[in-house]
Amino acid sequence: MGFLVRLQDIDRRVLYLLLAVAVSFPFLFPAPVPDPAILPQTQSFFRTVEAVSADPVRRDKLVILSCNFSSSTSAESLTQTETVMRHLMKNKLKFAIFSFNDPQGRELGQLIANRLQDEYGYQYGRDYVNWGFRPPAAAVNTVKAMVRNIPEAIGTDANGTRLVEIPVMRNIRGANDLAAIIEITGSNSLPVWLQYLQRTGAGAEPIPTLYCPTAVMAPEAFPLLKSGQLQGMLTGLKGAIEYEALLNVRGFATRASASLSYSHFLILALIVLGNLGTFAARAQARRGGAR
Amino acid sequence: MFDFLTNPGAMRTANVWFAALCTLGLYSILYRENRFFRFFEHLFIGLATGYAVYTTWNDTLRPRWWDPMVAEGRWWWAFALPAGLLFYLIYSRKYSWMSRLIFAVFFGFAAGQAFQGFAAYYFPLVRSAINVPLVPAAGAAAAPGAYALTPMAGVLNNLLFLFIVISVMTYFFFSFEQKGPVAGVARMGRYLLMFAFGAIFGSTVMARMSLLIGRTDFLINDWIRQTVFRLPG
Amino acid sequence: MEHATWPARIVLALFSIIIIGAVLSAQRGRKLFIRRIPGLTAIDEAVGRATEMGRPMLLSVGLGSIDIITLQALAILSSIVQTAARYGNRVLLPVADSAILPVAEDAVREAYTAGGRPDAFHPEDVMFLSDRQFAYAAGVAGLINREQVASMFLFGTFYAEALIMAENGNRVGAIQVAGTPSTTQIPFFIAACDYVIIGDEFYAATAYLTKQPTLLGSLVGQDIVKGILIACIVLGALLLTFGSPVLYNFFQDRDLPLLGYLRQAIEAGGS
Repeated sequence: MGFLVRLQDIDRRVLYLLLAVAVSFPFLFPAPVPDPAILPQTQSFFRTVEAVSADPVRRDKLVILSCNFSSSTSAESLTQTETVMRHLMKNKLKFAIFSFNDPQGRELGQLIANRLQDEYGYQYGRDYVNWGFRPPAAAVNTVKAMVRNIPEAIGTDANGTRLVEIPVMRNIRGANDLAAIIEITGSNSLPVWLQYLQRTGAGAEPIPTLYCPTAVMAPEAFPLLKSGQLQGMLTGLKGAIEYEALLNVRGFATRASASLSYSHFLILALIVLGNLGTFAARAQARRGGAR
Repeated sequence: MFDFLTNPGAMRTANVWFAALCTLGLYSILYRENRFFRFFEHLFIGLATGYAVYTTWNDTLRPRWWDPMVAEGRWWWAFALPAGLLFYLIYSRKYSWMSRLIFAVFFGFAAGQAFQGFAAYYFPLVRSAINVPLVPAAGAAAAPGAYALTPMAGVLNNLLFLFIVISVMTYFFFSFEQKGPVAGVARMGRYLLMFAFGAIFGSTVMARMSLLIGRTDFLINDWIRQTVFRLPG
Repeated sequence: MEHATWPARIVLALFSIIIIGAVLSAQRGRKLFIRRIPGLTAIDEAVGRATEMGRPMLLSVGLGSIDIITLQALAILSSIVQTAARYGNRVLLPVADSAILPVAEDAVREAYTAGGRPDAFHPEDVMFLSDRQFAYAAGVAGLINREQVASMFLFGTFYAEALIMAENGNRVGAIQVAGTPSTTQIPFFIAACDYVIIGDEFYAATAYLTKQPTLLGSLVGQDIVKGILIACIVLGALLLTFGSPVLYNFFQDRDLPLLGYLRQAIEAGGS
């Protein structure tokens, strides 16, 4: 009982060390991990991209890959960007990298595109474009202007070339020429797309919107899945792990899945031990008071 | 002497070493507050501020204001400068009233846009909250991201959903004292909120672990393996 | 939706009239009741602790710019500073947006003056750290550890840096009161802080502390709107159960001919 009570007073530096060991161990001594369970929202995400590429009307339209994250969430967001971009490139879908929350987003998105384009035979300008960064204060007005005229609203790409001169932007005018919106973010930037662009097309159906939040933001998005405002979601690094499994690719997410599991086991064990310690301390106090 | 600046391999090595030292320096707060952490903390803040200045000019002012005004002949963009400078008049006791003009313009824009935003965002949510029939409906399609349920399980799910929505919204009534059955429903709403917060807490633990895993991968693979010991990636 | 449907026009107009009506009614002197919010009663305790220990208090309005949440946070913090000023407590207020800096400085100065201690205000205690999220968090963490603050008040828009700040406050033994409408950060405040004000209570807290008629009136108006929405949801679910999609169709985003509201619900995907 005394041992359980002492558990409450473990020096936090010991806990940090245990966590560091749990996270590092799989990188130092890699072991095979079982296939992940694919959650319905990830499956739905995958199926939506497949459906867009199978639709003869939609496949020639443009996918907006909105990279609204910075390097501080790169472990999740960059990994999600890589897996999603792989899927888009594998299915030969045209996409535009764009960010309005953080200027690093368009650079990090371009970094992934540069890394993958040779593997899938993609070329900047012909198959994809980088619209660059627009300041957060102008985000709503930019997105609203995109409904009617994307080249006019965005103006130039990240390199300063006018959008009308870029081959991939040929025949891309407004909201009706969008195949899907994929929002990859570590902050609350999704509502801008849902409020001002998603339901503005001429068709009866809204533009398919897919969401790649960090795990923090994911629980808040479940009502949006239920209401049909989102057609799929990747839940943080776990979502990226599942997506790599669906794509049959072994990237950083798959390598990190063991670390993620071990760290969660450690957290669960510590929560159980901590609670046992609390109950033991209360019991001890009651016994001490009874005497 | 400065040839390494144009050597991509050498620059990458230098970048990795710098990033590793910054990472370890900031992590040193986990042991205790120390001068290394303070140095890297101030370095981080300084770099972030410098980057903000760079992006403000390079990504916002120059392509959206300076180049159209000077290079493309759109002279009317010059009026944006005094309008923007009005913000700074908040520092002047005598002329701070003028800054309220520009604030009012932006507040007006935001207020107007809020109507469209509210309707576009919340109407589908209210619709989905209404779409909870309380009798079994065979063949109903599952929403994206939902598990397919048997008809009876669907009804129980819908009843639970309605109960949770009503009790949580009841908790957030402020204009009357919550007594009797209303207080009970509100208290239940608070407990149910804690379930949601627990889910958010668990997801956030995963998010934080992911960030730690990202840095650990960088330290072990990019720094120690590939840069220090020059092992293949 | 790009253009409002008739139901959207009706609903938005109705909600606006209700809220404006409540505000006008409050401004004309009608007494409005706001129930007690538990977290706010801890403010005096936290200020008192800082006075006893002779250590400063740290306030934060989060990462927001000049928006409603940040301005309401400033109103709450002003009332806290006024209490602190009566005991001559030192207050540190790091901000993450340079536009907020002069507003915050003014608010703190006026609070010290209203508290009867204008001489106790130090302008250098209201400082801009960084607009980058984790740079701000690192700066606040350093400030907490160096100054060994006795109490912390975290009100406003917070993201991931919330836990960094709250955990550092925990480490130095500060008593912490937090309030944010940022749902994702509330669990961390609950785990790390002593008192937490959740979600909508944040807006009510401003009305409760400042007693401004506009805020009180808008809170009452919001309560009426919430009641209407609950009624729509319950009634709509019952009507849909018995085969009538009237309310379900009412909230869709395509204009329908009048009889369309009474007909079969629009299929998912055609919403």
